[in-house]
Amino acid sequence: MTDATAEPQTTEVQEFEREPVPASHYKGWKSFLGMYAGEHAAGTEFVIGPLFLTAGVSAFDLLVGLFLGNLMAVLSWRYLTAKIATDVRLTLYYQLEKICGRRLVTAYNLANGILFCFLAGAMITVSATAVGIPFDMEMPKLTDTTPNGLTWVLVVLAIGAVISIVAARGYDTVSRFANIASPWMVLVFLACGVVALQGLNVRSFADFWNIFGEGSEPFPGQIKYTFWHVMLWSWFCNAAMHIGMSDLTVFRYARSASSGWTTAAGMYVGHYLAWICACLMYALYIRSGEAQVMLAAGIAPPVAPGPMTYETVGVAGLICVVVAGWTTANPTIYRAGLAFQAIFPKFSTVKVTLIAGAVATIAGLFPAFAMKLLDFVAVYGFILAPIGAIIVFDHFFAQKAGIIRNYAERVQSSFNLSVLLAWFISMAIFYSISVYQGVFLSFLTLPAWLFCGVLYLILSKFLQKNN
Amino acid sequence: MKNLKYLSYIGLLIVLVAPFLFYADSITKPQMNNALLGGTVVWFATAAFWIKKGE
Repeated sequence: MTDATAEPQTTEVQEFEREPVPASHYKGWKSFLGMYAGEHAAGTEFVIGPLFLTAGVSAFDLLVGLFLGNLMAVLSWRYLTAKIATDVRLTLYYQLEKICGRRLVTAYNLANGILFCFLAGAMITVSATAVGIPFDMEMPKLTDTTPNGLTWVLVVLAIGAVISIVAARGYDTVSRFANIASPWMVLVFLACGVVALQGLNVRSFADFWNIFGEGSEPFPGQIKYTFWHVMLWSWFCNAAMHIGMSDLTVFRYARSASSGWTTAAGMYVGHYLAWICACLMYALYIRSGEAQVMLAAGIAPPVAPGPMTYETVGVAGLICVVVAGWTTANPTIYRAGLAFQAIFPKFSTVKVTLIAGAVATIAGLFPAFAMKLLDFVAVYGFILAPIGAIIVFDHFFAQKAGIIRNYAERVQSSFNLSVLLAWFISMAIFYSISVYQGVFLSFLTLPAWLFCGVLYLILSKFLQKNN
Repeated sequence: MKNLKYLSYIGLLIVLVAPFLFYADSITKPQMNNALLGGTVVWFATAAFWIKKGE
């Protein structure tokens, strides 16, 4: 999972917020390679990997499902996001404003900002499991939704305060520190996996395969994941970034759309290697006596990245959990602040970042966001992705459908009703299906996305004609 | 600066190699943990001097 994706150079993004990036500022594929590889090895990977194991995945479902799901994500980035980004060279927000008007972008910003805060909250939770070790803090259980004690509250508040203040005051320093930490973090993830393999007595590929085997019953409180769950979840966990078009802001700097292939570095380092390594660590932990006693009592063993990494690779692992959580929560809070600032332009950046940090810290107090991260990430992609469908369908099909492209800009409107209706109706229909029919939400992300795009064309045809 | 860069890469190399040596039973777990910590310190202490933002 990634935080709000960072741009190659923050200052340059601010220069071209409302104009196409000029050719003199295009960047080669190497600029994107390192960024994606680093961004997707975040603190939350320590939780996502183990959560697959709690869902009882089989070896085939995990290895092949993740491989194909990540491949689909890369193709989405390459042929949709990077393609449109290099065609229009505009930020997501400005492109969206041209289609749906300024007031509707505000609604999108609000949704985006709140979801960023919750995501940052999950990262604070992950860091807290490492920072709490010296204080003998009780770790949250997999089924915990509320704070489990005073120590937890104090540790989370302290981490949240530090992260928020640094995000508000020293974003550039943290951004630089994140760049330094990236290659090291990837190697620590790898170290965790290799050491776990030793602990699990894996000496051949067959031994490795047998760790997961044919899968198992999900842990108490979890649902069973099949091949399709793993594949579609891994495809759409970053749906907001690729089919949701958030990364238009990043790829508008790309010399050509083929830079979109560099997202493979993020997917296969962060969302394949790191997830599997974290999964192996948890596999080792659940073979311990303590975890077996819990399982026998019908309790799911906790997914606590701090103690797990400390047990596996010592202090370096603890540092990695804190750094991974901190460096990714930071830009997420910063960007949540920027999203809020678009709604309240009179507030200073420092003020909105602190507000976003406070919301994220409060969210971090509740372990549910981290312990139910698979569900939360699915919701996150589901809500934001349909907005990308508007951009994609407007870009590729507006002419064929006989509607005006960038309608809000053409008619000087601040509110395009077709976009709002398409977004809300598609979300309402497919979310209802998920809730009332019990369908896994990631199964519905693509149908909702397609439905939203088609509905936008139909509604535009009708409403534009009336206008 | 060039030497510092080499030192950084040595730090990373230690972080990369130590777990594999442990896997091959060539070093003990405490030795591996110390090597990882040592490599970590070397990397952060040196890389900060030559890695620029966005690199």
